[in-house]
Amino acid sequence: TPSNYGVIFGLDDGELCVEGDQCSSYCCMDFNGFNRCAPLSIEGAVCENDGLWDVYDHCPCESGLSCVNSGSTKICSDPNDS
Amino acid sequence: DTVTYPGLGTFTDDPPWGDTTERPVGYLPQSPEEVNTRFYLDTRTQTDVEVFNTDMHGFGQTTFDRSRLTRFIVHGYIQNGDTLWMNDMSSALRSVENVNVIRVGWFGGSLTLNYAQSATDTQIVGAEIALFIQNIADYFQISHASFHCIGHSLGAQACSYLGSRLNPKVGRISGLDPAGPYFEGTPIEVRLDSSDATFVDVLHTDAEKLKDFGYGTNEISGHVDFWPNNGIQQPGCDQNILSTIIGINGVVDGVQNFVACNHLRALSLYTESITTSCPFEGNPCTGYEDYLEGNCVSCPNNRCPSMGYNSINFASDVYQYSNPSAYLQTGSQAPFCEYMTDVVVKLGSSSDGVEGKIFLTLYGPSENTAQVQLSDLDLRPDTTYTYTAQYGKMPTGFNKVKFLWQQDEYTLQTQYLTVDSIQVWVNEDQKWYTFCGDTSLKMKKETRYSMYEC
Repeated sequence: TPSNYGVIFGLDDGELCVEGDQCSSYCCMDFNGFNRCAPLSIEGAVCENDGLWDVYDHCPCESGLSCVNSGSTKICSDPNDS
Repeated sequence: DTVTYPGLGTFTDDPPWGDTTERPVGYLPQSPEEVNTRFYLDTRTQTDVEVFNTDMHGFGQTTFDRSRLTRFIVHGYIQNGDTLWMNDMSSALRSVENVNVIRVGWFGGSLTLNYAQSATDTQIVGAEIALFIQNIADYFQISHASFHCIGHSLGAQACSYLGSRLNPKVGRISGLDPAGPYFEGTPIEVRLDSSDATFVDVLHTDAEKLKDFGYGTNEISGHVDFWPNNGIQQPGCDQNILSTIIGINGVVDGVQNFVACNHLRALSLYTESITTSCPFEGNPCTGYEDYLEGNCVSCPNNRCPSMGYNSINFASDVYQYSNPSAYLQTGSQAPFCEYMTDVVVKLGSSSDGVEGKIFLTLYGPSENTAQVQLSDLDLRPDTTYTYTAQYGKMPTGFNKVKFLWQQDEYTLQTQYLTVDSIQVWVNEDQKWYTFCGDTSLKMKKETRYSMYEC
């Protein structure tokens, strides 16, 4: 694509990133030394809340979920679950 | 003219081997000494033992097990010496079965800068492998059926020469993105085709024309030809340059990947298919568009052929196919295998008309998938939408879905959707699952709504 979309922004999972806004998932995660775009955390998975620069050890949750405390960690859960 | 190499036979550069539209410049194959074909035996008890196709006494002293299958692995042109993938594939094979693996190196031929010469040299490599198989079969009194040749790029074309040299034929040839240039459009004695072995399975991952940097062939070359992602643009290969050069496990593998990411993807897919429990199913179909539109969800007698290592388990199905092509999609990073579903969403009559995207997550009692975007569309009331969707896994005991929608436009009023039903075709089970919820429930955006099997 002529623009730098896809080169610096709108990056796919696995592509190198400096901060989350570059990633189509808005999550830039540390993979042993290199930051890469990563998919958002699924229901039941470990998560982190939205950070300033969107660089995480664990991605925030997918849409429709919230990252809640669960014991010593935080996991994605569905607030709409009855 | 011709050249004769003792023990291997006579070779020519006359048509169809040269001076044709497909092979504009004809070359005689280099001598066996120049091509320098080398064989390295790996078994479960000992690896990396060099063996020689003319020293059967020495071969008899190795840990070769005559009661097991023997699989040759042959690299291609692009490898320029890096054959790490062959060791990975060999250990993957040995991890799932007690098998003899012989890795074939032909650096003399494949490292020449002249691709056309390398393409011709594959005849020498094929002849050397055929000679070895014949000698092993005679020495140990075992049948040709127990031999399998797995070749990448030019290596696949080298395997094809077993067809004309061994009678009866070898049991199997697997072509991983068989080389296109100098082979596409040539007669079957020049290139890989289904007559070369009892079972020929092929993976196409870089089948674009050469001018579009396609190194692989776009021709049917086997009893079954798999076209993951339509056999051309592999997902994850269009990463920006920096991401690809610094590969997941270091710089070297990254550079390699960038040069021919699509062409090398066939290796990763085949190696993964050896050890994964994911079925890597392909759906026989008239074309990729038809596959994407969900027109080929049901496979002949409800059995979808697996791509890669396990495809031989579907040989009897495949032999009945009128069209050997099967299609699938894969992920952009390892693990590449995905589970294909077809999803039919029926929006209710009291649903608002919105511009937005639909998402679906699949649930079993104890696990769930990621949320997958079906696709963005104008979401109209009383309308049924059909999507092909890939999931990284299929939850055991699949019995629930959660529906969510996102709005792409700004509207003053809050918009709601209602859903009459959702049907999910699980390709692996070859059957529909139907889910219902409260059809009058007004669903707001960015909220998950559960629907249960009904």
